[in-house]
Amino acid sequence: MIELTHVNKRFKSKVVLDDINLKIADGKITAIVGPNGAGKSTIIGLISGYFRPTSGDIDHGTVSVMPDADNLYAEMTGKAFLKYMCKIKKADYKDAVHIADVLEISNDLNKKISTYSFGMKKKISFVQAYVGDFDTYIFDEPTSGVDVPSAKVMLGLVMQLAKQGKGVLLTSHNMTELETNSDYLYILRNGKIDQSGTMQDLEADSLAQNHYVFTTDDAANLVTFLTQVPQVEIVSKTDGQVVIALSDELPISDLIMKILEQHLSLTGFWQDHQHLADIAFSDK
Amino acid sequence: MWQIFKKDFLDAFKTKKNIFVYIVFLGLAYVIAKNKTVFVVNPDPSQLPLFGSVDVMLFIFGLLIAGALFGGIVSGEVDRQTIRFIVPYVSRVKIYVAKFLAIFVYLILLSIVSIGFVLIYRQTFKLPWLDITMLFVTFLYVAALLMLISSLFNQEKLSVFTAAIVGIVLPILALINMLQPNNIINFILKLTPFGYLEPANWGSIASVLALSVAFTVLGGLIFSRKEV
Repeated sequence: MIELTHVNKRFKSKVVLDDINLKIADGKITAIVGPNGAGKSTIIGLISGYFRPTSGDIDHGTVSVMPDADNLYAEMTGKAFLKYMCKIKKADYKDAVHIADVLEISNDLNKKISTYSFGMKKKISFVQAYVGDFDTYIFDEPTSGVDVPSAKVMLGLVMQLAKQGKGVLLTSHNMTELETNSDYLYILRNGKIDQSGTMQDLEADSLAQNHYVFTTDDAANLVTFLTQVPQVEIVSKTDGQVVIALSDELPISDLIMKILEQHLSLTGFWQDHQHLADIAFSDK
Repeated sequence: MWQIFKKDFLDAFKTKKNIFVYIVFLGLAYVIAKNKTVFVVNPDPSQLPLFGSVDVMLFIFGLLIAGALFGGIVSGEVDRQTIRFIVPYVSRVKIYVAKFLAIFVYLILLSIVSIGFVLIYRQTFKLPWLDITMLFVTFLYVAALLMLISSLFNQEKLSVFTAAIVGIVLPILALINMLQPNNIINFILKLTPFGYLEPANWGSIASVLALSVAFTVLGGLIFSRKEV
């Protein structure tokens, strides 16, 4: 397990992390989500030992990290690099070869890393992070730039680690990936943890709880009516669809009744479930 | 730790600079070996080991050679961020020691090969052990100073340049001080092996060793706190 308690980080005068409290539990996949510059890489850097916190405590066991793939040893061959890393991490090179095989880069291991495409560099960086016996594994955007089949394989391997009882920290710009694979999420904004919880917790907390989508043949009249209802806020409208935010004061069933009493066109409605991208990157 | 040492040590041999260094020193060793008026090692401890010896050349140019080959040993990895692959698994102390040893062992090997060449050529195996000890302690100093310089900077080019400048300036200052003694230059040189150019003795060896330890500790502290 990794635990950050009241961690602050400043680079010169700039506050990059502000009172971060975060846990990466064993046997779970924890994700950190946030826009560029939110502080995700800084958190990874603190856990990995690249940086020291300005204040606060970081408690962790052994950690295996997948750093940025652009920072590989370019003059080494893939094979030499994996052998080097396996010896440093006291891992079995055969395991690295097996993962490389699964990710379909074993045929390229005799080539210099400088000749690798970005996706290949990502894969080899993933391989070196995956091997060895550690308490927690950190994967920083493992699937970006990687072909879809290999991305699925990588995520499958990551899930295996969690099933083995290891802690996993994942960052990604692929929100769908994080939504479906993470057990717990932290949403980071401007160096602070804005929200945290399971995907269900985040959905329940988000504005989308009371967002509804109405489909209609007469959007103009429906919008005119809805703007007169104090508990309704129009979120968006198109020719055939209106999205509203509904206050807790008015149950949806009551609103539907009011619409039907006005004989307004309503061909369908449903509650709008916000996706992680909406929650993480919404304007606040 | 040994993997880091092995990688940095062997990487030095893969460079063109290394080939150049060995050609120069083996060439020098050959010239010295053939020329009987010039001694590769000085059997007479009362003579200053200043000119015409392979060990003297290593003494004078050790920092320049090491700087050219190992100037980026820390700063290069920080600059390219390759060090991020090893920091999570190996302590800062072990990384530092491994890189220090890579420089030191390289210089030891270069001296063994070039001095050994002359000894074998001349069929003489009498060695001035005090001079040799002073030379090896000087290599410790070179490794310590180079590690300190490389840890101070985040850009490889800057640390290699600084090491090269120091490697060129120190012998020049030593020469100037010999020709025209100067208190300020003398003070600066006392922080380097060039301040102990009298015939090697245990006092001068201890002084250079103490300087090596001081620079190692300072460099180690800087590296241990460095954000990479």
